[in-house]
Amino acid sequence: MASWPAAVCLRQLMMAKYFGHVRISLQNTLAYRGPIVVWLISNLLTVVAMIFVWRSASAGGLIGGFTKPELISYYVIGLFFQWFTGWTPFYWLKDEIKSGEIVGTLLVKPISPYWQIFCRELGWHLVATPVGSLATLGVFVFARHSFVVYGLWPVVLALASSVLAIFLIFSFSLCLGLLAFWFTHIGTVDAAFWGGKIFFGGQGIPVAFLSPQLIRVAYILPFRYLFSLPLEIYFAKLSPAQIGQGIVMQCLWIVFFVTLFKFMWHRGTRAYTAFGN
Amino acid sequence: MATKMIRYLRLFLSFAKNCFLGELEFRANFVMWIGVNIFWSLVTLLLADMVFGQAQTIAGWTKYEGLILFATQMIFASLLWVFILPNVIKFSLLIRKGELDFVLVKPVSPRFLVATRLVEFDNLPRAAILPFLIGHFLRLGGFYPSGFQVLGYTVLLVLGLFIFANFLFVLMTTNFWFTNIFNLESLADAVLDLGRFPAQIFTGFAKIVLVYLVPAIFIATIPVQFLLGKSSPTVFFYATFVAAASYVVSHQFWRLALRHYSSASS
Repeated sequence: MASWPAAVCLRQLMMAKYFGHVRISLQNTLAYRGPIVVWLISNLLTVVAMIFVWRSASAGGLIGGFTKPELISYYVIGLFFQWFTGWTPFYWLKDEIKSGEIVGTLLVKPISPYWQIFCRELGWHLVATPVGSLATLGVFVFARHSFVVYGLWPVVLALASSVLAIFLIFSFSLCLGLLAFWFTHIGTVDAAFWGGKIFFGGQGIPVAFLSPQLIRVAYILPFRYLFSLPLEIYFAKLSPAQIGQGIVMQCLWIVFFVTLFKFMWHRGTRAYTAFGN
Repeated sequence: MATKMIRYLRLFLSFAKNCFLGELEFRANFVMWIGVNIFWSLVTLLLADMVFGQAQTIAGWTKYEGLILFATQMIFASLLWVFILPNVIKFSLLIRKGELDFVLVKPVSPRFLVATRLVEFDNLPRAAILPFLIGHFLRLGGFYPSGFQVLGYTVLLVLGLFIFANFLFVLMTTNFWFTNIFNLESLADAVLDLGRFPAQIFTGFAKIVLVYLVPAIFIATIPVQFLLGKSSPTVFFYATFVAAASYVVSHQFWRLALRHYSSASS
C-alpha cells in the first residue's frame, strides 16, 4: 500500500517525460510553418492533377473495378490518409545517427526510444493532420459533385485501419532509419520504400489496377496495409471476412517490425560509435 | 564576351569534375542510385501503361502518345536533377548558414555560382536510356517523325529546361525572405509531375495557373506535340519569347532579393 502512491508518482513522471517531447516537437513544428505549406501545395498539385486525369479519361463504366466518381474520391480521401498516416521518422533519425546527435537525444536518456520517437512524430502530426484535413476539405469542395460515401461503418472501419497503418508505417520507417547504424548512405532504401508504397500500396494507382499476379504479391507485402487497405474498406470493396484478414495482416506486420526494431536497436547501439556529443 | 564565356565554361567543367569525383568516393551508393533511378522510370512507365490500359484515351491522347509524354517528362526531370535541383536544395542552406557571403565576394557572377556549383550524375544514365524507349514507343504507335521534328523536339526540350530553371530560380530566391523553407524540391517535384500529363486535361482557372503561370506545358506537352506533328513551327517563337522573358524576370527578381539581403555575420 505504501508503494502505491510512489508507483503512481513514478508513472506520472514517466508520462510527463513523453508529454514534454510532444510539446517540444509541437513547438519545433510551429517554427516550420513554411515547409508545411510547401508540402501541402505539393500534395494538392498531385491530387488535383489526378482528378483532372480521370475526369478527362474517355473510359465509361467501371475502371479497374471503380466508377469515375469513386476514382476521383479515391484521390481526395487518399490526400487525407497521406497526411494522417505519413509517420516517417526515417529522414531525421538517419541524420541524427550519422551526425552523432542521437547520443544526446536518445542513447543516454532513460526513456523508451520507440515511444520517444513516436512522441516527436506526434508533435509534428498535431499540426500536419489538421492542415491536411483542411486541404482535403478544399479539394472535396472542388470535386464535390463526384464524391462518394458508402455510409458510417466503412468510414469508422477505415479510420480504425488507418490508425493501425500509422503504427505499421512508423515501425517500418524506424527500422529503415536504423540502417544508418551500419551504412553511411541509405537514401536508396527510402527510394525503394516509396516505390513499394506507390506501386503496391495504392498511392499511385489503386491496387485493383495491377495484374492478378501482382495483386497476390501486394497482399503478401506490407505496402498495401500502409495505404490501400483503409481506402479499400472505405469504398466497400472488401467483404467482412476480407476486412478481418486485412486487419490481422496489419497487426502481424506491426508485430514483425516492432520486433525487428528492438533487434536492430540492440545490435545497432552495440556497434555504434560517435564523437563530439 | 567570348573570353568571358570560355572562362565560365571552364569553371563549370571544374565544378562538374569536382562533383563527379565526390560521387565516386561512394561508388556503391552511386551505382545503386543509378539503378534506383532507372528502376523508378520503368515503374512509372508501367503505371502509365496501366492507367492508359484502363482509360483508353486521356484528353484525346492515346496510349503510346501518353507513354512518349511520360518518357519525355522523365528525361526532363533527369536533366533537372543533374544540373538544377541540387543547387536549389543547397541554396536554402547557404542562406540559413550565412555562407552566401562567401559566394557574393567571389569574382564571378553570384547567380552563376549558386545555379551551377553542384552537378549530380546519377540521373544521367536514365536520361541516356529513355530516348531509346521513346523510339520504341514511336514505332509501336506508328509514328515516324522527320529529322526536323526530332531536332525541333530537342530544341523545345532545351528551351523548356531553360524556362523551368528560371522558374525554379525565382522559387529559390524566395529563400531570402522565407529562410526556413528547406523543402522547395518537393514543390519542384510536384510541378514536374504535372508535366507527365497532357496539358489539355486542365480546364478553367486550373489551366491558367498550372499550364501558363507554372510552366508545366513546356516540360513535355509542347515538345511531344511537335514531335508527333500536332503543332506548327510557330511554337518555337512562343517558347523563345517565354525563355527570354523568364530569364529577364528571374534576373530582376534575383537583383531585388540581393538588395534586401543582410549577412548572417559569417
